[in-house]
Amino acid sequence: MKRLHQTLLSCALAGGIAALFAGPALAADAAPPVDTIQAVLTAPPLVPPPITRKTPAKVIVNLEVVEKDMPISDGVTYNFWTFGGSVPGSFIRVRQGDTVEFHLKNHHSSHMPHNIDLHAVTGTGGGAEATFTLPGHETQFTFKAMNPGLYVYHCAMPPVGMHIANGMYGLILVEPPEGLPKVDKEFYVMQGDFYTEGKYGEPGLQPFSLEKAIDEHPTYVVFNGAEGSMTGDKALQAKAGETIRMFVGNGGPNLVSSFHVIGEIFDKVYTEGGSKYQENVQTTLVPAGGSAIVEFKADVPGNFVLVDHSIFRTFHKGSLGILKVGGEENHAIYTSQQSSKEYPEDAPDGK
Amino acid sequence: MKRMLPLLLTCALVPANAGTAGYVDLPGGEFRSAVRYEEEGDRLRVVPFALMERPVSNAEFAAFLRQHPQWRRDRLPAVFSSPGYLGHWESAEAPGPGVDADAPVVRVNWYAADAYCRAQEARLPSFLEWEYAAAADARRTDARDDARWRTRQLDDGTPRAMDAAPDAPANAYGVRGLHGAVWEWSDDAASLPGAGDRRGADDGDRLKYCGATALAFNDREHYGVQKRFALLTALQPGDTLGNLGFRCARSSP
Amino acid sequence: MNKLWTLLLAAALPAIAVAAPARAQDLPGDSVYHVQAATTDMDGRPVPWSSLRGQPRVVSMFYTNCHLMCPLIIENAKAVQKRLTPRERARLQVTMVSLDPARDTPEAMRETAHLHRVPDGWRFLTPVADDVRAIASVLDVRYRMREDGSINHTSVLVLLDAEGRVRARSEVEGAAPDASFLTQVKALLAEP
Repeated sequence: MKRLHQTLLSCALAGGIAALFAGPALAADAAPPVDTIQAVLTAPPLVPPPITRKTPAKVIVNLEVVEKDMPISDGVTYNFWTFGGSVPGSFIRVRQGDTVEFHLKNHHSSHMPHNIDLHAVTGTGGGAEATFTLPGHETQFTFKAMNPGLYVYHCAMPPVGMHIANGMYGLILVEPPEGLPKVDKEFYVMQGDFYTEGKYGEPGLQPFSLEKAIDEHPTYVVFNGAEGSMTGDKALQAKAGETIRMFVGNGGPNLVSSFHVIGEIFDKVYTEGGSKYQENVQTTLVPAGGSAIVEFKADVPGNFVLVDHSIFRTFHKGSLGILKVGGEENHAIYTSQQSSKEYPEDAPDGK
Repeated sequence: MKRMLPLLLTCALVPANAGTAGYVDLPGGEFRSAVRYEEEGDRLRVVPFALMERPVSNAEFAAFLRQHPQWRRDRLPAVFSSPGYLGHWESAEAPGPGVDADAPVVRVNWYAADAYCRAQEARLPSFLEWEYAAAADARRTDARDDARWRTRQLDDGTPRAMDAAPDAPANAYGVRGLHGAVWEWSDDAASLPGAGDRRGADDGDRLKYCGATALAFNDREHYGVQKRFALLTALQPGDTLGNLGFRCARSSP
Repeated sequence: MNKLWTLLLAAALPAIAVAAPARAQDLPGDSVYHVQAATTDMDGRPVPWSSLRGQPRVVSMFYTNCHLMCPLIIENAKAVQKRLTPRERARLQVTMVSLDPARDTPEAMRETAHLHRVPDGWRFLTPVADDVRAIASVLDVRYRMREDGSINHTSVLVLLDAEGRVRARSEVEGAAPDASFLTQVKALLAEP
């Protein structure tokens, strides 16, 4: 009996001691202090580095609107209205649960007020109401990134269509808490349709054509704000064997994109930039004002062409980009041409 | 008393600033605004009025400051001022050689524009009056059905605007520069009911704005007017912009 | 003696001439009384806008032909006053400014004051036509005249300190006073 008592006593003591420790441990689980971080923004086709932290943070984003003339095609310039000086605008990368303190500046040289609607924001106008910004001014608002996903942002100042048509759009990625699986290369690609008074290829500064925009007859359909933005020495680069992820957006204003990479199959497509993926996809739809995340492995070297598979706009309006993959050939997967010869004439097959 | 008399006489002799800008008479009448104001029908009545032929220039504004020095940038009380006010002038009293004296004065706020016009026994035009006068091109008093002409208004407020050059022709009413490189204040800029983000706004905020409902546009294709409207509704009376000036109007007797 | 008076007067004149601008310069930069505006009270007497300086004041803008919000503005202001102690009430002025000079004659203003049984001491002022917009701008009251004679306007009570600086604003949403506005009024009146 004594032994039992002793055992019981030690158990009770142990229990008591454990309880003592349990108290402070619980307190330690209470909300830790939140870091304040300056968001790293990038111009296309670059993407900010993946987020490694495992806790929410306060993220400060500083974005400036600049109106500027830039080339849209060979010999053709256009007066773009940009977020951060590029079309599409700077890529923003945050984590689900982050509190984002957003500062929007509108450069002194702008001729109009601008604002921003981020599709990642839950709140009136996606921020548009809070960021009505005159030239030479700065506005600020704060939002919580509650949903993961790849979201479009754009200007929503009346007349909205014109602001979007002039290039005022970009992407904001809200990573899920566990982050995205690691890949070797990430790229930022965003399609847009442009409407100019002059015909395709007409040189000089081309004004915006409202009539064509309303009729949805674009003059240029391009990736990353210009024809040739990803060709020649600006082609995207990768090595055979690397895994690649493309954050694909479509600013519109009007057209839907049938996004395809010639010679590649998408291993995974997070359709519409959401949380679930489809596998083994050749061509995926990217809605106007929407996005998609595509992932694939560059198995063999070569030039792989990014296109909108509504094919006439690719060859006549500019929606073409190149992914140059270097490295060792793999003839088990692809040989390129093995032979070419004549064959004797006869009645054609099928006659 | 003797010493007072000359003082009194001098005060009497200083004229109300007559200004050198001429005014043009506009007949007014029925007018279909591109802006849809609350419950009113399409057609609004514009009462006959007179409008300055050109926007107020740097030289004219400098003359106003000589008569009314309390509006100089170094003397303006905080309640009327903003950091950029007349910032482009060389000195507080004159634009200096680096600024075109005949160009429209910019970086002026609503208070200063209002004071200038009142000193002329005039006022700022309403947005409707501006729109009515600006509907005219060189030949027609209402050219707004001409899509090509409407398109050119997309450049209003930029150096590429169709009336940007000082010798751009007057419109059919005889008014110049309404579609110029410089936006213009209206009397009711602060009161044009416009929220920044109009896409979802079809409920009026009834209590906030007595009797008002959300504004929309009659003419969705009139982007030039929409841009101008969006700009004016964004402005507070104390704001200044590098491409914002003004001209005055007078009600006809 | 005459010579002495002349000398004194001559000495005083410049002082008087300078005194007025010197007072204006004393007015804080952010005072609404910098607006040069002329108004008439409901007894027909001229009241320069800047002469309102000197006492804490609750100001609002309305017009007599307004039957929606304006009665509420008046009731709201009355309710604010009721919640003050007699000492506080004695220190605070209430002033209603017209948005509609064309129709808000002194008589119309008197009628409205009577109709709404406003307490003694309230001032009803009608600005000169061209001065309405400037007063409305510094008070941040937005308004638009409509074709049928009605006026769309924002409804606010603005609390001004004795020097004319805006201390608090209350958007009028009903007859009951806004609690935080009332707190600000009391705090201002407690200041020396």
